[in-house]
Amino acid sequence: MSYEWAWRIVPRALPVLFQGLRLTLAVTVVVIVLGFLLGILVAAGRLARNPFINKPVAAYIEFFRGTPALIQLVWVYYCLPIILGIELPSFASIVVALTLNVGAFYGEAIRAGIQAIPRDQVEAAEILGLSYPDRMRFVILPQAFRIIIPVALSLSISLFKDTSLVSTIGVTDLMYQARVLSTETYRPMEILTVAAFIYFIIAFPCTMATRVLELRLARVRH
Amino acid sequence: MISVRGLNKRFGSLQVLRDVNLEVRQGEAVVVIGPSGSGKSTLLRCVIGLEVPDAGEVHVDGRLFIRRTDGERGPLRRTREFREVQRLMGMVFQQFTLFPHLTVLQNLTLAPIRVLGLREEEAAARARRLLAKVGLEDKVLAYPEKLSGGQKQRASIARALALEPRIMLFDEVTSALDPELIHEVLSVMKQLAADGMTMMVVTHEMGFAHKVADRVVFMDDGTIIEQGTPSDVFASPKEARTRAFIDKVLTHI
Repeated sequence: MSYEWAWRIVPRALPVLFQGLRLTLAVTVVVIVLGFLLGILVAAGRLARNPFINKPVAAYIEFFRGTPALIQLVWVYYCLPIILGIELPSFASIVVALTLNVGAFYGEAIRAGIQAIPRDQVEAAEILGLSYPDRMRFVILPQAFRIIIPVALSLSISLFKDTSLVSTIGVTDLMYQARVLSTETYRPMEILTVAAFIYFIIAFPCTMATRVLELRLARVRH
Repeated sequence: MISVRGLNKRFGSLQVLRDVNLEVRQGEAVVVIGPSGSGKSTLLRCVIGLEVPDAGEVHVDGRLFIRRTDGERGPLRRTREFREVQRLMGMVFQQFTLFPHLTVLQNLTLAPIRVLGLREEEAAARARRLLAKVGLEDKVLAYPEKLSGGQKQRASIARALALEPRIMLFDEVTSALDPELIHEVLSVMKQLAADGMTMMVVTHEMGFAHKVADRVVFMDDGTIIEQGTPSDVFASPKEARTRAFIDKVLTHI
């Protein structure tokens, strides 16, 4: 079988793809910020002693970790308007859906990081008379963040790629533009390869940076 | 200075402390010895409020610190009074508990600044003075990972002293150390006892107990079996269990 690659269409496609990339990056950044803030609340809720708080939070986490992000997206975009009568613009609904999704993952990463701090560190801080907020701020969180940051970064890189799901509900991100161009040019293989390359060019350095950071952070412990 | 009355503690079905009564006078160095699992560490942890007894009372410096009656549940209420009394005591653990992300100096100044409200320069001056006292003046800006086990424990002692406690508790502070590092930690503790600090020390170092203790308390199976001056307890123990324990540990020397 011989296929004739037509790479000559790439220069024409690039400006449109970059336009899509801008939206992809915007979604990623907004969702990382909101998702991490949500994750802090989720971790706090999960660690709360009160079962009326920690049980529902645990249910939320398991639901969003255990169902496909694509369905969550569709659900927020199509089902919420029907059930609640709230119609969100498409950008807002993908931000809501993806934030709820990564919030669950960030939340678990933060909780795990906090719980990884040895008990005697916490006790030593308690004996020194430090208040709960001070113990968190000066003793627990600075140590926990060394564990959390590499995990949070790799979750963020996954998120960056997973934003491609938003193309299914008509948000004009990098993936959406690639699909449109594919149909217009009848050249899906070339266009999608280029799109994948663009994702890779951004994701790969981030992965490498995460690895370096992880090694460096691991060295500063005990 | 410390008064423990009718202390009981169980972990599940295991009774760790049975009706323990103990008085520690001001300036006294009390060394608690006994086999593993006899409840020594739990006693210490109850005294400072890290462990909640099932029943009993702890008074510190004449103030009621903990009172539990049978059937009472839940964590201790950390009232202002509770925290004030807790702060009269400092404690050093078996595990190394210096905060690894802070320098030795920051380890020593954190609580004085945040809890006592000292200014940074005051806290730093106090920290340097204490580090000199435990022989770590050249480690002020080092991170804990750069210290040996013995140095870590000495820094931990200095950290506890930075809050100017009236009482110091030591929970097997040399048990995790290489043998050649034990001495440097014990000599700091010895100096502290000589300075008149009220101390409760749980240890397996019989030599230390013999030389430094004003009183030796022997515990087994959650109760205090016998107590007295080191020479009494070591040379002429009254109870068979004490004698058996002392024979066993002393034959190793």
